[in-house]
Amino acid sequence: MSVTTDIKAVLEADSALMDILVGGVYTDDETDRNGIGRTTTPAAYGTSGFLQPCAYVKERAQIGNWGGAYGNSGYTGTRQIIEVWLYEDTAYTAIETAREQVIQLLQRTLIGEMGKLRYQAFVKNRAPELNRAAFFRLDFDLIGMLETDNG
Amino acid sequence: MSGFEWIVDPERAFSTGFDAWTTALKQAIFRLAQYFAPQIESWMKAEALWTDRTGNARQSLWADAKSLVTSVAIEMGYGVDYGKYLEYANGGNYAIIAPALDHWTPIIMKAVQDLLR
Repeated sequence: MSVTTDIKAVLEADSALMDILVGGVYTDDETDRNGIGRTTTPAAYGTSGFLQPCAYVKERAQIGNWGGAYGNSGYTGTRQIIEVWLYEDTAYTAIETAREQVIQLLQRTLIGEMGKLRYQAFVKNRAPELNRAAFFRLDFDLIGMLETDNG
Repeated sequence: MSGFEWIVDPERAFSTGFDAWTTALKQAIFRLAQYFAPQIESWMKAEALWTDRTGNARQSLWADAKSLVTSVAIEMGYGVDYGKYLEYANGGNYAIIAPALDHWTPIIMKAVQDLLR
């Protein structure tokens, strides 16, 4: 299980959230470089062809603790930004509600054995490649530990 | 007698010394920022994953050290108006500013820590 599939599982386990995100939840493992699209994620689109409210979970590079290992513990702290993108065809109505629920679900949630998520900020904009669909990008810090070889 | 004598009021000496230390520290951190900014700019230009059409977006990427009132910043950005598109389209998979932050943050923070040792 990757971090993003773990997070997807947390989101999909919440039926109220899934009632909003009828287009589904996808990870970067399931899509190509172009993210959500008609070819890679056809279920994100309704029968009328419009994009339905959906989520895309993506992980950025893991950053090691620049202070090095904690003494002789053999462990160092890590930080990784997890991005949760919420899309909706025109308005922000559904994804505004989804945004609050995603934050509530993920805030301080332990992901696998990796560490805890901490909500940081969001970006609100329009996705030009999706016919100017509305989107939020929610950034979470995944604070964790990594075993080092200098313990 | 301990052989130690204050020749100025210790409160004034501490205040003056602290001000001098913070000014010197800020200048040193600013020099670090000036050292790293061109490296960040080169890194972004080399690592941006999109396919160039005109090459303008890649060439316009910039990073600049700024000395602000109480802090030092390295600003990064695009010089083309469609930079926002590159950063936010396709789930951010063609972004370069965010990966630059991930790559350079530990390097710069380590340099600042070393400076303070």
